[in-house]
Amino acid sequence: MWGDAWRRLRKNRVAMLCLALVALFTLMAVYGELVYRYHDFKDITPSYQKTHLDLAFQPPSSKHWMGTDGLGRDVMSRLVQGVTIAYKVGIITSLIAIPIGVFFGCIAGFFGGKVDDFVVWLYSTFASMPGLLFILAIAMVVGKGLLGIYLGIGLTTWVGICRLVRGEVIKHKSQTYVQAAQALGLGSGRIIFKHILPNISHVIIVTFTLRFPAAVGTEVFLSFLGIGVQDQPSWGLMINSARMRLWQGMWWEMTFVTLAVFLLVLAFNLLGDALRDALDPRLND
Amino acid sequence: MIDSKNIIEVKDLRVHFGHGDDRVRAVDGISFSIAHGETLALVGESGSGKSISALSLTKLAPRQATYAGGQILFNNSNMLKLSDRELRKIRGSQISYIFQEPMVSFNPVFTIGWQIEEALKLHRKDLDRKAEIGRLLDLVHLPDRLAAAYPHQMSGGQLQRCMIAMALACSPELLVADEPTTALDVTVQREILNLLKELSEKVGLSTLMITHNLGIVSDLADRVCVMRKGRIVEEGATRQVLDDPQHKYTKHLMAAVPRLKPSAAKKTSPEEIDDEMKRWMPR
Ligand SMILES: Nc1ncnc2c1ncn2[C@@H]1O[C@H](COP(=O)(O)OP(=O)(O)OP(=O)(O)O)[C@@H](O)[C@H]1O
Ligand SMILES: [Mg+2]
Repeated sequence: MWGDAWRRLRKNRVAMLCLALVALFTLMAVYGELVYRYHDFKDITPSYQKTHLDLAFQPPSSKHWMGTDGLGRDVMSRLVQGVTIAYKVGIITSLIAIPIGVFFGCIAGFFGGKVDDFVVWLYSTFASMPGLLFILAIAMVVGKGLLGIYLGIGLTTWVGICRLVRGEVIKHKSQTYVQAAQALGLGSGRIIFKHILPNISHVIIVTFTLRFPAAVGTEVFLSFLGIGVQDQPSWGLMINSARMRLWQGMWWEMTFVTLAVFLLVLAFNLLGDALRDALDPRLND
Repeated sequence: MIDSKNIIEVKDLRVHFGHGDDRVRAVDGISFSIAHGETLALVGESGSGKSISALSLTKLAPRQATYAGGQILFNNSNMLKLSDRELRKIRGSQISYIFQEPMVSFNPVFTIGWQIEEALKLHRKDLDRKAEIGRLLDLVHLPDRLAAAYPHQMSGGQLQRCMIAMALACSPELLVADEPTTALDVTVQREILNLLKELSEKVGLSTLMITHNLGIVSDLADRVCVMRKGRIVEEGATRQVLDDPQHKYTKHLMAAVPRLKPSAAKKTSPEEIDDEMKRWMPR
C-alpha cells in the first residue's frame, strides 16, 4: 500500500515541491537543535542570542539578510532557530494527541456499548474544561518551558480527532467488508487497526496538517503569557516582539516570520492533501 | 452427539433481537443438518431469517442479536458455547462465507491479493503465499495478474470469483453462500453458479446455499429447507419439494417464479399462508 502510494505521490509535482520544502524545514530544525545543544553543552551564549544594541532595528542588508530585531540580533538566524521549536511543538504534540485520539476513537466506534460510553464521557470531560486553563494547570505541575507546552497542548487536543475517528469507525464497521473480515476469522484488533484504520487515514493526515499551525499558534500565545519557551528564539516570541514595532515601520521581522509560518503550513497542508489522495486507490485511475 | 454422516447439525436454533414486547424472533426454532459433500438450499422470502441463521452458524450475527436457545453442532462441539478465540479459528478455515454483494465485500484500499493473503496468513502459516494466491485465482478462472488489482477496478462477476477464491483459501469443510448471485446480472449468475458447482464437486465441499431463486435450487441443491418468518415450513429432497410441494407457502413461492408460459398455479394470499402455517406448527 505504501509503495503504491509513493509511486503515485511521485507523479504529483506540487507534492514533490512541498516535500522538498518540508525536508528543508526539517533540516533547519535538526540544524537548529544541534546548534542549541552545542551551545548549551559548552555553556556559551549563541550568536543569535547576543545583543548588540548599536545594531538594533537594521533593515535587511547584505550583512543581515532579514534585518535585525530590537536587541540587534540577526532575524534570519533566529528564524532558523525558531523552526526547531515550531517543529517540536507541532510534532510532539501530535505524537501525543493523535495516538490517544485515534486509539480511543477506534475502540469506542468499533465496540460501542460500555466502551463507547466511557470514551464519550472521557472526552466530554476534557472538552468541557477550558483548554487554556488546563494547559496552565499542567504548566504549574511540570514547570515552565516546553514540556508544559507539549503536555498541555497534546492532552487537550486529542478530543477533536477522537470524535472524528469514532464517527468514521462507526460508519465503517457496518460495512460488509468488515463482516467479511470477521468471517475470515480475523480478530477485532486486527480488523480495527489493519483493515478499518487505513480507510480513515485521510482523517488523521488532514488533522495532522491542520494541527501544525494550531500548535504553533498556541505556542505563540503561551510564550506571550510567559509560560512557554524561555531561552530559545521561537516564532511565537518573535511575532510577539515584532508586533509592537510593526507600526513604527519595522516590517522585516514580522514579514519574514509570518512568511516562514505560511510556507511551513502551506507545505504541510498541500503535502497532506496529496498524500491522502495518493493513499486512496479509488482516486488514481 | 453429531451423526457421523453430517458435517453440521442445527437443533432448535433461536436468535432474537431486542427484549420484551418488541422482541423480534428472527430465527424461531429451526433445525436442519448438512451431510458431508451435500448442498442444502435455504429458501424463503426477504426477512424470513435466512441470513441471520447462516451468520449464526459461526456466531457472526449482529451484536444486538441474542442466541436464545438451541445447539449448533460442528466437529462435536456446540458453536454457541465456544469462546471467541475458538470461533475465530473455525471461521474462514473450516466454515467460510460468500456474501451477497461482492462490490462492498472487499476492503477498498487494499489489493485483492493482499486480502486473500490475509486469510492465508491467519490459517495457513507455512506456505508460499504468492504461488497459492495464483493457484486460487486460477481455480476460479481468473488471471493471476488480478492479484494486484484493487476492488474498484474489477467487475461484480470478477469480484464474486475473488470472493469464492478467498472463501476457499483455507480449504474449508463448509461453505455458506448467502445469495451469491443476487447482485449480479443474469449471464454472470450462471457462470458463478457453474463455478460453485464445479468447485464443490472438485473439492468435495458441503454447501449451505441461501437464495430466493428456485432455479438455482433445482440446479444445485440436494435438499431444500423452506423458511418463513423464522421457521422452517418444509424440508426435503430438492426434486420432491419442487415437484410436489406440501406446504402452501412453498406452492406460493413456486407460483412466484417467473416463467415464459404463465403457470396455471393459483396465487395464494399471505393470510391464507399464515393460516396454513398455524395449522402446520401451532406455537
Ligand atoms: N440488526 C438487526 N436488528 C434488529 N432486527 C434485525 C437485525 N438484523 C435482522 N433483523 C431482523 O431479522 C429478520 C431476519 O433477517 P435476515 O437478514 O435473516 O433476512 P433474510 O431472510 O436474509 O432476508 P433477505 O432475503 O432480504 O436477505 C428480519 O425480519 C429483521 O427484522
Ligand atoms: Mg439475507
